[in-house]
Amino acid sequence: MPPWALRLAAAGITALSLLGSTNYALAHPKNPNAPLQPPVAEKPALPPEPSPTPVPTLPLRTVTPTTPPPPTTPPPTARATATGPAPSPTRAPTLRPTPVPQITLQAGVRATALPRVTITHVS
Amino acid sequence: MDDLTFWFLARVTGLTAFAVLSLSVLSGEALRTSVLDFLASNRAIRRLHDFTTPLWLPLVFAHVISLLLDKTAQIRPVDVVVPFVNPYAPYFLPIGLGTIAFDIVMVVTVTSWLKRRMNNTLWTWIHRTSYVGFVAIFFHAAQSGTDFDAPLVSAIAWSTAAALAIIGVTRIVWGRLPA
Repeated sequence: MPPWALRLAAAGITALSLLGSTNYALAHPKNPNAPLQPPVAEKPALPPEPSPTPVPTLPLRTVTPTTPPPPTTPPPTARATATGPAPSPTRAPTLRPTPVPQITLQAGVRATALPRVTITHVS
Repeated sequence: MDDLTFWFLARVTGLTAFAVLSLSVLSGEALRTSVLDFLASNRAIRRLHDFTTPLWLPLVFAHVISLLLDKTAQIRPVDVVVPFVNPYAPYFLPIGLGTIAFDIVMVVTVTSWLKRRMNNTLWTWIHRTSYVGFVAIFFHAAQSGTDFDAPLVSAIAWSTAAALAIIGVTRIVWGRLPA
């Protein structure tokens, strides 16, 4: 093998080593067993944490009516699905289903539609 | 450039410098053995050995300068030339080995440039200290290197060092092998 080929191979090995080292260091920004632990190396290692779902602050007023509706008023499920007649203007603020309770159901709570929860609770 | 940049630079240049220094030691050992005779003539191997110096020298300097600029490493200018005085107490030994290796490598390099003005025997013995320097480099990297704990890097480094050690012992025990 001629000398220039050996030198070219050495330069190639150097370039490959540099490339491989760069890729490895970038892929492994932090080694917990390394002797030197720069705090700055923790920044890229931490994945971006998703913001936690806020705990619902509103009580489930719409699903736990304290007073039964009058017989002339259709049940809340009918209004929730918008299949019944229009609700009376006086009861609309407490019985109209809002999207907030449906979105913020906690663990252990049945992930069903809001009107069904209402019926289960009443029964 | 922030501190993280210097940290990455120190790691990358350290790993690459180790690889190229291994190539330099291998080509140097091949001059006195016949392990690379199948590849090229001794003259070509000698040119390769000389050619590796401008390859690893900038990497070693970049490694040292990066560590000097890296605030986490806490390396002072005096730590670059005086071994075992660094304040990084738990790792003063491997960092001191790196200092010893740097000193040896610099002396060997400078004396190689001044070879024609030196006594040949003195130059030979100084040049042989490069084996000690490489051992110091290896343990410096293995004990204080961030990436030498990784299986991939560790496997490459240990196998390379073992191969060079075998060739070196062969050189000492049997001299130049038959071609």
